[in-house]
Amino acid sequence: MPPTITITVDGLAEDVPQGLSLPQLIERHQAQHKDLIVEINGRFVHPKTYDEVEINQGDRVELIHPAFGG
Amino acid sequence: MPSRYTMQELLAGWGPEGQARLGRATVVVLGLGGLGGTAALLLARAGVGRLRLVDPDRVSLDNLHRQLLYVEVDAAQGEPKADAATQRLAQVNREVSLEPVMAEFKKDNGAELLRGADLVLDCLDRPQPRFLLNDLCLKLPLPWVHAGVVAAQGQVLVLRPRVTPCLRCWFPEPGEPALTSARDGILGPAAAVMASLQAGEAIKLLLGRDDALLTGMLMVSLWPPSFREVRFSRGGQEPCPVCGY
Repeated sequence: MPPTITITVDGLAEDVPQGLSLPQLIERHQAQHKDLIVEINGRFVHPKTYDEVEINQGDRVELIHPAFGG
Repeated sequence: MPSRYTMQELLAGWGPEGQARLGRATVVVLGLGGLGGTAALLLARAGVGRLRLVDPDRVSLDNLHRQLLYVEVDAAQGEPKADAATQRLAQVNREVSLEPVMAEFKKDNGAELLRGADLVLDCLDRPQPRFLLNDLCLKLPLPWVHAGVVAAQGQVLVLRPRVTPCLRCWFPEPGEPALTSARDGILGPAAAVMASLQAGEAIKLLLGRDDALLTGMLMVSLWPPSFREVRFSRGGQEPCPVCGY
């Protein structure tokens, strides 16, 4: 078993593999990649930097879908 | 003798001078659904001088749970939203000049629809025309207030060319939306909350109260309830190729 870390995604605790990247986390949550608003520990993550971001123990992640209806 | 506007003129930084500023303003409301109808209602009551009311659709019965401007007879007769909105707003405040336009906001008519505007409210119902609006407002330049709503959630964002990030800064690669009202529905109170927030930002912009504006993207959910303001960061990336921010 690979080591795991515990993070919080949208307010819920979740165990994920150590070394998980942000795009992998997004994929785990079946979130649409392009129009997502992502915050980690209260800080906005620019979409063009997703590939550089690794998820760490204790991170609080928000994956927010914008609403484009009217 | 109190006037129509006495209670809002009492607000700090408003007064008769602020009211006169509103009275001189022209606001274009793009989309007259759950967001635009309610936002237009609030701006008409506040005494904004001129409202251009733009929507290509007609009122239908499934609009009525959230589109507060319209009544059953509008739906029964399939009234154009621009016309029904104009009739209702004229009953609310005869001092406001109303300009109904039954049209879709598109590339070939976008600049004409925004002509003479001081401010635009983005109450559109799809992502694509919002990016067209973004590009036009950068070019003119023209401030605008974006709002969107689906299900019980939405967001509000104030966009000022050369002052704030543009919509493409937030969404550099717009794709198909994950949430759609056709599939996920819309909670009536959620639409009204987002429209109220949007109208509030619009009034502050018209009053010149830049100090009191939203500085990030306000993400709102009513079910479960939460408000969070997300502050933009470029994360060390190159400036936006569209707006240069």
